[in-house]
Amino acid sequence: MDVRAQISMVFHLDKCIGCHTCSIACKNIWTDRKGAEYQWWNNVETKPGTGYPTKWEDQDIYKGGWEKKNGSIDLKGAGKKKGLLNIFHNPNLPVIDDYYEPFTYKYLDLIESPAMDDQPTARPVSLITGKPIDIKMGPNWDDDLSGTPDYARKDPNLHDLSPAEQEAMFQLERMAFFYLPRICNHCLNPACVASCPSGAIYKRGEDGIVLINQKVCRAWRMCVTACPYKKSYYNWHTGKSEKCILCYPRLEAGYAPACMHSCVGRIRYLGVILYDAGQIENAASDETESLVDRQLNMLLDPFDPGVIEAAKENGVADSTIKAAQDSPTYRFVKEWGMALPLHAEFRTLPMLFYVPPLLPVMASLSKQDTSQGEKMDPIAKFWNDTWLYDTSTEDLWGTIDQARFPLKYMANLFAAGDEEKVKLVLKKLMAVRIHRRGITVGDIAPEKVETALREAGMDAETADAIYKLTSLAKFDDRFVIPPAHREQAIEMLEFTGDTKGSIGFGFKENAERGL
Amino acid sequence: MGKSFFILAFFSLILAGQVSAQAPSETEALFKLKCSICHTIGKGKLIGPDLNNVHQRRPEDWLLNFVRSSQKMIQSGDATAVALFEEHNKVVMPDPLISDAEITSILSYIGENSGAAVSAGPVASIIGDATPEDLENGQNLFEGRVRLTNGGPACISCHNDLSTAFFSENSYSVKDISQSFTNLGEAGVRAILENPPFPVMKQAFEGKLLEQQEVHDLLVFLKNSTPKSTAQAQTGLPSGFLLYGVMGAGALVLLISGFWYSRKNRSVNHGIYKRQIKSFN
Repeated sequence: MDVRAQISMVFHLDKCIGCHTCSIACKNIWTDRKGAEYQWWNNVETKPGTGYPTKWEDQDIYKGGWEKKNGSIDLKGAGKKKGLLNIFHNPNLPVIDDYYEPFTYKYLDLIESPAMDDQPTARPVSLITGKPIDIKMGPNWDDDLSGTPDYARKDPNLHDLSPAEQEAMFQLERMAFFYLPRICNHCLNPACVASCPSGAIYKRGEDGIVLINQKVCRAWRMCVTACPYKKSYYNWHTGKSEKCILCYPRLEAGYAPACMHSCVGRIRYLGVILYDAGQIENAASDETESLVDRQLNMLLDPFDPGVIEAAKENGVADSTIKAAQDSPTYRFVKEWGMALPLHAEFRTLPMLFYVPPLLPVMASLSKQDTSQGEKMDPIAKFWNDTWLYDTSTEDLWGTIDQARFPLKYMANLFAAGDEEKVKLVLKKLMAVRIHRRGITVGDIAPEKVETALREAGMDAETADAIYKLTSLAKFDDRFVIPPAHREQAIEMLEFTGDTKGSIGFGFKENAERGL
Repeated sequence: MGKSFFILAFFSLILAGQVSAQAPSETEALFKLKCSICHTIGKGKLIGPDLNNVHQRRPEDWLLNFVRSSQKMIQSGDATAVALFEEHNKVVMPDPLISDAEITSILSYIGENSGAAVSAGPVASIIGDATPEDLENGQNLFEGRVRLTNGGPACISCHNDLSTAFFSENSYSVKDISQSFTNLGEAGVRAILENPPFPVMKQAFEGKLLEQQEVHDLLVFLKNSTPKSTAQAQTGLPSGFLLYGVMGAGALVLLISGFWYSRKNRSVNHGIYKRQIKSFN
């Protein structure tokens, strides 16, 4: 057993309101620079939607991630043989039009405009060329299902839904959507690391953060192709690739990453999970249906004495093991089984887990009656009926099956196509609600609550714990950040006695002075 | 008186005998030295034409001028001279650098020795029984890996360039001998090897002539190397060259397009942008 520690994240999508505060926090700190304007290390997508870059999930286009081959796995778009065949050429790379051309407005024109009869306008200018452009695309262009059918209807996750199911999703009266915030998944089997010809990308030993060494990067951009989540970006100004660093300088100082810290809906959780690195290859090479289970099986119980012993042997600090025991992500992912990885079929073993949203599922259409159309008020254009939104909890599990959002769609996103897995999570989410409603409102019969909990496979205490971590969690409950132990890291490279009595410690570079 | 006459007559006889015996032999030696390498009298064509009855075929002035310097005549555009030059593979006849009197005596020597019969049979080949060892030995001799027995320079010290031929007024040299067999035939090359006629080569091999076995091996090598020459004569485009070229290029294009068929060749948003611009207009 090769026990290692990984800082993992859980995003509770039921709580995401799609405000993009995380994206802005990240942009302000990290990517508000020349060459990085188009990069959104954190972005929020509306689902169904094509996302950013457009159709990033369609690996037939971008050739990201791994594919199963001869009992093991091979990079889909990179690797030695493919690299040789495509030498000096990276044909599946996204181009700037697949993201969007970053722009700003000439705000100064508003301020410096002389008095006129008409209001002054601020024309959009490209942040790449500096010239005025017609804006054609943005990082959240299809937000809230906006835009043409070019966007949401071309969501790659719709691929194995029947045309009737797809059509049903986009009927005006049944339409639903949810938000999917995305950052780098800091995968256990990162395709970007494997693809880098320069060896510039590495996964940090102590916390599993995947980083690009800017001094080693040679602009091959293989990581951009290889990352199936398209979370590695090329900076055209510096000639280096960049990606989410999980705000490691903040983590080392004990702060939550900026996107998590700023989250309005408090949807984000961060904590250490111990895992068995010896299983990585086997788990990533398994059949698609068992990928999620294999990945979850790799995650180890931090209370198991055997695991603790093996972790200590591997140099995992006691404080990290303690953080793993307190980890909110371990509870969501492993203990409660409520969080699933995004697109496990890419085989990178992502360590960012999502609690699928219940809300779009909740309101469902129980009756199909076309004659109802005649009842529409021709002037006010509203439906004077209540049959459209059926939020009754009478036949609860039946309604999940007939949900406005086909389970298959959710399964394509979070469970590599396995509807049962998503269904079980939704049942758990619903059971917690029923349980809490029974306590706080008291209008649900105890037997009914009991049935709901039993069917979700949990007891009342667990349901309360889930409720508390979901709704009442404080900052320190949501983010359990292990001490970084930089002193140990530096002792491996330098003798700290040399600087004893000097100011501070750590990897330090001389400050740049002047311009 | 009778006695002195006898003595005089005796000496005269001796002298006359000496003169009459010496005069033809000098001319004959000159002919052998200057001409016989390339020409025969009544024994068939070697490198140059058979000179049998040449004094009857051409006027004496013409012969005199031609022997003096054949190249000058060719350059001045004499039709017969040009025709001869063409007929004999444009092998330049070196200027003999001898006096007009000597040329005249050689011409009369040719006239004296001309006969009616011309043996047309080719000179017997001596390289029919060549072995791979001969070929290798010939190459080694040519390249100077093995020294020539009599100390002559290796062929490659002059014949080292397979693309140029040059000559000047007084010396004549062919650096490229890759076509020698095609142009001269075995008999011609053999004659040159056995007794080099060309001024530079002649001087180089003065008293260092090749042994018979060396001649044989070099002949084998030259014969085998001729078709492998880098400067082989252009024989025109093979039939269908253009067609095959176009077909090959087409096949290559198809192969490449097949290989890259699934590549991402434009922005994913291309269609959307195109439609937007269309609807905007």
